[in-house]
Amino acid sequence: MGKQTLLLENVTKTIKGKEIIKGISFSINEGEILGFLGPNGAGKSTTLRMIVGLSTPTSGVIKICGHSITKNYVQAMSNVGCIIEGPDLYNYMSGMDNLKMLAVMSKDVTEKDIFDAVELVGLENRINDNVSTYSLGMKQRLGLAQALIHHPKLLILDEPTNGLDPSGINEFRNVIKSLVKERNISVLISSHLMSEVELLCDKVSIIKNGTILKNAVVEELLNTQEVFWVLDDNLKGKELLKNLWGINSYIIGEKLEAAVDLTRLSQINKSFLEEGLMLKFVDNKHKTLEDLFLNLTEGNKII
Amino acid sequence: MLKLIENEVLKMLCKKKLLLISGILLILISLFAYGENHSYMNTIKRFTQTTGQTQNYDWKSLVNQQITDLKSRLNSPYNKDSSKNSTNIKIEQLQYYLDHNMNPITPNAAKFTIKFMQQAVLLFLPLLVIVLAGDSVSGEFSTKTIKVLLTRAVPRWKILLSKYISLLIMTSLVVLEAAVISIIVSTVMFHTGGWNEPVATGFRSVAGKLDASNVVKVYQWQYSILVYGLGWFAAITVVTISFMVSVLVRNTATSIGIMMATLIGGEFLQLFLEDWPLVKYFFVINLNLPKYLTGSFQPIEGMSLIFSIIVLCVWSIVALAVSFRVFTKQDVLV
Repeated sequence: MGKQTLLLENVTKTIKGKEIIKGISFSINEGEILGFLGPNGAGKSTTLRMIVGLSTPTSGVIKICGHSITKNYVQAMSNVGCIIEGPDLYNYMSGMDNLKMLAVMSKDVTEKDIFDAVELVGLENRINDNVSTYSLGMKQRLGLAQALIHHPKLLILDEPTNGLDPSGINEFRNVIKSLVKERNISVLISSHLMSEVELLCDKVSIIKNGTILKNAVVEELLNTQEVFWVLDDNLKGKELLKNLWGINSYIIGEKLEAAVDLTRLSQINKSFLEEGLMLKFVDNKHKTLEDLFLNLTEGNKII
Repeated sequence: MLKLIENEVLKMLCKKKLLLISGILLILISLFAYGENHSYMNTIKRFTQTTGQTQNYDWKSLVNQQITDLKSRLNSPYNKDSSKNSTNIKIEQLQYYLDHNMNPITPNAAKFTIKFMQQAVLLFLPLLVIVLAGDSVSGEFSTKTIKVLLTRAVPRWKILLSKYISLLIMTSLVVLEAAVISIIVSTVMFHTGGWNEPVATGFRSVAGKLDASNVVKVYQWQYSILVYGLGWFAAITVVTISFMVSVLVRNTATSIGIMMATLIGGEFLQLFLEDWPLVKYFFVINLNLPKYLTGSFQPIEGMSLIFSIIVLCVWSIVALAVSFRVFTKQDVLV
């Protein structure tokens, strides 16, 4: 177990008498990437805003590298880099001027740090142009550079891949992954793109209506015990499973699905063949994060 | 901290607002100077026509005539009682000028520069600085850049303070620029500086009579520094209040609109509600600081230079307190 970079304990937030966040807790360790998922209006952005100090929690504790965000604002924030809801920078200045201006607001940021960040996000050629001439993708890159210049230990990204093209997303993913590896930083990403989170994150937190539904490790979440077969006679297969192995199964489309112990799978397959069934296909039924998400956030009504 | 202020000044310079303000100043001052010259020529023309004098008129006789005019106005039945006092004082002032051989008529650069600020301080200068201050905070909200600004390892009060100080710098620049432009324009227009001519200031009206015992003679250049200092102070107050509005409404157009409405509404208030004693505590009524120096000025009973300065100070302090309180506590939800 590494050090905890971010810790939320029982954080609540009430806005105008309405409890938006109802006591959520989670933590991120050093070098971990946490995906923050939830339907619209679930409280993702509100939570992220509290973490970066844009709004103050009604109750509860938020600690960044051990410093409380409310009591030790400066120390806590010096460890954070973030993009909250789009990279909004000063349009009337060049990208470089933007970065230089933000750099002096943190301690000990050198010219080299700025250049490194620019190089990292691949914006060297246009960095001296006015931001108003940038495309959304370039603004996203600049936003990321802005979040990285002061070498934060915690990176908070709200919808970071909005407006990036597929190769841009891929590049972005690689940048984040290499950053985590090289600098051992922690990342908190909120996103709607399930595949994105699935590919990038180690852990996920699924939030709905201000409460956390599930804190889990991505690999464990997706590794289910479910298996499907494609047989020439699914009905017979279903009977066999019931009679021989005592397993309930379902026919969905042309697939026969069941939850089985993977160690017994080869035995089951053997028995199918012995009973004269033709086995076309058998595979572990991969659950995608999307299935899980839809499952958990069912009956999605904004309250 | 210094770096933060530098940032804020840089932002304002990048928006090219100062350039816009300089342009407005240059155009308006030129027009004003032209008009001033024109009306002076007219006065002389009329005077020379009525008296039959030739080109070389005597300013003393012109002043004498003005005094006669004012006196006849004073005796006119249509004259309101309230304005009698100030007319009286004006007459005595002119008499004083006459007695002490000081020329109040012929325009020169110094007089123009002073007169410009006396006129501008009430509405024009405040409007200009509102353009600067109106979006200093609300602009960051409108463009959502407040997020990058407030997610740095800098406490919020420092960010707000740097914004305020940079505004003070810019306001001072605008006042300085107004001075420089009017000096240049008026020197070109009137050809005479007149900076070393004496001015009489410190008149006091006691029971409708001019009290000249405290009158001090200063040079025009000293007087203009005094006038511009007071103008600067008035501008600072407007900036501070505008700054508060900018923090409160988070929308540039609204914040500039509110301030403009307040300024113009204040003028109306003075016209219509001068009997109501509370009006004198409203900041807009108190902006006309340089005019107190003439001695014949008292917009509402009980107002004086010191009174106005105190009122403006109180407004500024309250506005700053509100700004800092709100800015450091509020949730940023853009």
